Amino acid sequence: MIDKEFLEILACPACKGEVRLDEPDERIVCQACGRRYPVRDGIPVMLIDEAEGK
Amino acid sequence: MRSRWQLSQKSIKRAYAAVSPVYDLVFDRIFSPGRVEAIKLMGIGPDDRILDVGIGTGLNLPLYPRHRQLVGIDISGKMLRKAHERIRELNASYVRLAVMDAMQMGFQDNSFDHVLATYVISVVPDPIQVLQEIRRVCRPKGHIIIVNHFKSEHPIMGRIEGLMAPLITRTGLFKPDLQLTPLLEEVGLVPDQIHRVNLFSGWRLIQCSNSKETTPDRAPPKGGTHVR
Repeated sequence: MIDKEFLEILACPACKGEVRLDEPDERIVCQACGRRYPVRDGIPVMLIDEAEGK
Repeated sequence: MRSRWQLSQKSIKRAYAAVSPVYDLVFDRIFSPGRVEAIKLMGIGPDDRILDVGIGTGLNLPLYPRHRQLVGIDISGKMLRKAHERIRELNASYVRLAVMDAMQMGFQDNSFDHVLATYVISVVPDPIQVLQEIRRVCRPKGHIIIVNHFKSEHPIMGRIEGLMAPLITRTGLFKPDLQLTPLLEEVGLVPDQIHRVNLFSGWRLIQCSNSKETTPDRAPPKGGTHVR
């Protein structure tokens, strides 16, 4: 489950920027560099290779 | 300097795909004493945040005290799906999981009070980078606990292991000849405690306090975030 507490400690693995959850798209979005990370089976996939954008 | 500590990502993936059917059996039985000791030694407080690096299928999960802010990461989504099943069986929905590369973690600085890496350091392409990332995400004076195989400091055993190391490394499973002292020195970690664990020689449990400059502005807010 991705709740507020979890999002607070998550960061973009590339630039370490803060992230937010884009709920309709089920993506974790970096607010600094804009990379978008997928969420699969409720588990965030915070791998630079799997990110969209940038 | 670094190359002698490196394994290729490709050989690691291939080796673990080959052993995955028996992985839990072997790793649960033979390597459980190290896991049990490590988690006991952490002295986890009720509001502490814990990171388990390379949680895999979640073999460590039943060993933690319940209802803690526990986060597990692994590079293998497939292993994490098994961990997810285990979380459901244990009724431990407060545990969070994420697919991450331990060499480039997706966490803010100083996010955790304890960081545990059981049997991880010698199965990553670059152990130094992993230890540096562990130091980054662990808060100042937080606990860093590593359970791993290291090259024997006994002169004869050390030489025998040195001769066998290329063979074991070639299997891609792990590098058996990591040298504890130079590795820790390289990343500026000073062990508070070193224990021998498990059945065979060379397995060590290392506990360090994360001595580093404080950067409080990056630390996420704590307290009142405890999830039960």
